[in-house]
Amino acid sequence: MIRTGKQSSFVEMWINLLFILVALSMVVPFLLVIAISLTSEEAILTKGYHLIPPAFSTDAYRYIFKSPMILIQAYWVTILTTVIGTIASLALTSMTAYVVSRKDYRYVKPTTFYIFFTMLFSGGLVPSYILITQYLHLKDTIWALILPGMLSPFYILIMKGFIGEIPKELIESSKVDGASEWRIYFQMILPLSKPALATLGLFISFNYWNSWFPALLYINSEKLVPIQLLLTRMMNTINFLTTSAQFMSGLSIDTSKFPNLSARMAMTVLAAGPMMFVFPFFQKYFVKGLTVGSLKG
Amino acid sequence: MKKKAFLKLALASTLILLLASACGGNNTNNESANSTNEPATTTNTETDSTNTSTDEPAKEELPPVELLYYIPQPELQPDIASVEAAVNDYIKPKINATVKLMSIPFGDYDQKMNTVVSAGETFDMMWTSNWAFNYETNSLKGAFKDLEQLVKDYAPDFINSLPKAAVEGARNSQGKLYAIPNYQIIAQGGGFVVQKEMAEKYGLDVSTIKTYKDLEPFLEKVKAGEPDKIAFGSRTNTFVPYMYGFDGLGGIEYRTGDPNYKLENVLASPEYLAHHQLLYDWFKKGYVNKDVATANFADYQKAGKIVSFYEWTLKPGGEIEMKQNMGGKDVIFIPLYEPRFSGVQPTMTAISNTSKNPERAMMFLNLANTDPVLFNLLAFGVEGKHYDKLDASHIKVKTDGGYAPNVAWAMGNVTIGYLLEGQADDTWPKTIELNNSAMVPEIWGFQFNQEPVKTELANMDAVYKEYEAAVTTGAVDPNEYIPKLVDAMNKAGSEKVLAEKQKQLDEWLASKGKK
Amino acid sequence: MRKRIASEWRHFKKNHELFTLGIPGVLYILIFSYLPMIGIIMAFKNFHYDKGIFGSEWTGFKNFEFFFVSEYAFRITRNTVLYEIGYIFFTTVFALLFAVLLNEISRKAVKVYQTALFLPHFLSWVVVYYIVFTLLDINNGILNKLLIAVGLESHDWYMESGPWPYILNVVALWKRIGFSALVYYAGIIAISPDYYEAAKIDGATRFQIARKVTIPMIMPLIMILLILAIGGLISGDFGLHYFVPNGALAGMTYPTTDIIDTYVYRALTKIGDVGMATAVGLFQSVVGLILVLCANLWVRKINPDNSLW
Repeated sequence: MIRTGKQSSFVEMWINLLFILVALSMVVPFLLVIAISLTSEEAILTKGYHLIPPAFSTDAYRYIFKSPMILIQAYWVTILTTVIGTIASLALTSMTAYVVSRKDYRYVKPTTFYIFFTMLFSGGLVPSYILITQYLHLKDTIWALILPGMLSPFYILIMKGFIGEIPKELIESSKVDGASEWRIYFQMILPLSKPALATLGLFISFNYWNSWFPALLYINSEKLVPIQLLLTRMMNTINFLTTSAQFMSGLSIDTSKFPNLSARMAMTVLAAGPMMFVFPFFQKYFVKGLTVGSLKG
Repeated sequence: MKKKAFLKLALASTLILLLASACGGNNTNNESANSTNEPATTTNTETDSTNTSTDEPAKEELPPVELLYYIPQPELQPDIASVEAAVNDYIKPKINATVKLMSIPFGDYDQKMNTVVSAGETFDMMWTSNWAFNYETNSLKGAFKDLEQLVKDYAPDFINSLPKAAVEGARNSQGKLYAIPNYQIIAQGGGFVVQKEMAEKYGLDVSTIKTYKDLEPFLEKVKAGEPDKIAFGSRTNTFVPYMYGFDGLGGIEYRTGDPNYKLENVLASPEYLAHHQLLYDWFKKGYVNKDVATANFADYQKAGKIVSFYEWTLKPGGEIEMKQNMGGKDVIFIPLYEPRFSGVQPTMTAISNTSKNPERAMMFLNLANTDPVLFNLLAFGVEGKHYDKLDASHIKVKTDGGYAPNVAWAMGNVTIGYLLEGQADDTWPKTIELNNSAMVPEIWGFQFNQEPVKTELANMDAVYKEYEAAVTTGAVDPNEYIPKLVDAMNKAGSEKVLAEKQKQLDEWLASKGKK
Repeated sequence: MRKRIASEWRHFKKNHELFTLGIPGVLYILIFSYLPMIGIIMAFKNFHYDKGIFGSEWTGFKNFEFFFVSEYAFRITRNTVLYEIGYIFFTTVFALLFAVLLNEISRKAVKVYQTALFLPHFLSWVVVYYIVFTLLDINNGILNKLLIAVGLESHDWYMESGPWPYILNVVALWKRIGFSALVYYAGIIAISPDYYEAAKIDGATRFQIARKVTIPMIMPLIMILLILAIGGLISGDFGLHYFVPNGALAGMTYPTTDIIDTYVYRALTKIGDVGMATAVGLFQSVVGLILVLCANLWVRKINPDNSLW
């Protein structure tokens, strides 16, 4: 940004060094997860955790790919909800955020409070469940995965912060030119807030990608189970059965069939992995956003 | 000012919507209430119950219905659809009903069912127990249909075939029958499980083992000879009051033979302290793995590292199942005390209060518990596809067949079902014999109603779990921690709870003429 | 009165375009957030399934009792609040620092670091537990191996309460820093370069520019995030506090890891009382609301532009 010769590159070197260390602390654990997923269970128990598997094995992945159709289906559901959900959510979020970012809007304070209030208060699970299953009849539809959580008050308020940075004069001059609010929103606010949209889009898509709770509640059909629910179910069931061992004594559960540690890790890799490729896609817009932002005037 | 006006508006509009939804809610309630007494079916039942087979006359008169059945399974079964189809082909001509199997993984079952039931959703049958999706609390909150009459009408033979104590134990604290047992072993006789190979190698004489202490010489040898293994896999909550001179039911204990049935706080008893002192001693001597309080027992067990441990229920033919969980190592069972009747509440099936067809649901449950064909379909799937028959009574489950839930015990009466490969021919007769001969506690049938002290119980649960893992596995010094535990439980209200238990027990005893 | 209505109508007409633009969002929130809020009345009821939300009998404040009479009410409230303050403080400070520093280096490098920083955000708390476990495990844990290598004593981390405030703060920072840094960075790159050029012409140093231009420019964003975070001061992070100290087997660490959410979970899993769970949730919400209102008032006093409303 502001480069002034030698001294600046020296400072940059230190900054880079710091970030390399920080980045390593973030990456290494993830690599460890991958390494454990490729280690044989026997070696994990006897030799512990290593970044380079002491005994390489793909058993964990074979265990999971036992029934590939389930996995493919789950990916498809996750991708579909993520794409539709992110687009719809971004549109709704930015629209609402624009309205409450306009300080000259008469109802800005009550509306902001109206939005914010839902961040703190919620009626809990049961009424939401009744609403979605008995009134909106969304059970076992993909909308049950998309609609709940489509508009997060938190993101509206963050977006409000971003849009608030756009100089007021810009909007005012457009209004003087006779542009409608809709036109200002579509033709000025949206292009100008690309970095913010990219950032929020990233967060929102992550939320959709990682979401499993709506699926747990609203989905009974095998065909609509997202990938994260597969992972969570695996973890939940293992957790649950180990803590209830005392009560289940006599009932017999075959624990030998449960995924072992490496399988759990493999599932994590498969559930989180694909989003890594999405990240750079969004990042492209961060840089672009800057150039658009400088078009001011 | 403006803000207030706006809020008023928002409030008003929400209220209108609330009222609208409130009416809707009431409607559904009325509907389900109406459906409970249908005169047509009650007349029907009389003819049914006089007949020996309940299903035959049903054929033409019953309108077709679909039954929604929530069942827990360890993981979702890819080919459950073909099981469902086969079940429906089989039951359609018998009770003119089809069933929709809603399989829920165990880890989600509580969450899912709590929500479904709270929301008042319409469905027909569900699995329930005293350890997951709690039978007692849910029955008190009105989740289930009272089955007293339904059982008499549609499943008299089945219910009469069960030991009297089993049916008694299926009642909730109000004495009502809200679920029918999935019949299987209902006697608890705990003891040690020891790897056979190790027992032979270190010359363990099974006949000498009568108490925990007797196992010590063996553990010492294993510890010395097998540094890679865990001599004793200590588990949480292995203090069994009946081994130490207490009688009663879980959580309701008095000294054996006490004519006054004076309840005691077991945690504060010297026996409780002594038991954990021994475990702590073993822990210090290294017989027990040092991460025992924080590690996952099943992981070590599966890896075959655990040489011996205490198991709460040693059931006939259980060695085969245990072998699977022990990393394929053969085991021997060493019972420590006479089997006691432990009741049917660990696995039962209930009919939802919202069910529109409780009669048909009961007919279905009757079949699942008396008709081997239906039970085997539910438990093991379709022959040739999900399992192979080895002989008339034994099967081998195909692990990649698409249906291997391996939870026959959640589906009905296991004693009418197939045996797994390797299980002794007489497993079921032996199980039934054990059930019938097991010692029935004197206050059997008493069920504690938690409602009056649920505030205290909630806090006690939270407190107990703080100490549970460390104290009951023997990983910390009991002389220091058990007094702490007892003190914390007292502060959470354990004395009040004990008094309430005593009060309810006394009333119950009086009503039974025992006191 | 009529005059007021007329003037209000004039205002509305002037604002109607923005109003219609806001309708979809407002409606969505009404349906998906406000409607289910009827459920809050369950906090004052002994909820019976067969009687439904409206038919169940009123019990006043009985559902709140278990939490307030608990011997541990103080301990868990203290833990919840202190941890949240710690998380908010460290995350904000480090995220700002990272965002400002990222702005100083080449964009290519930024891409790489950002991806790395964001990695932990991918992982669920259960998986984070496994990662932390590889460090803290008593048998094979990397941390213990290091301690022994430098001649120190090994620890059974999951059986001690002392180290957990440090562990949890580090883990929380590790997991959250990417998210916050990204938000602030996005805010920073949206700042018009004109401001920087002006500062540069004035001969400001990097540090001065950061302090006098960058931070003030993203102050509204910082304040929004802070005010919102304050609302959550009394609602802890269940996933972090439940899974990372070893889930159901974390007993010995409770003195320093137990928060309201984990305590309530523990107390109510067996009893499964919807009313009691709702009651605690309501208590947290009300306290959160009060805190936010105070924070917002305070911020408004200092700089009205930065307040939430």
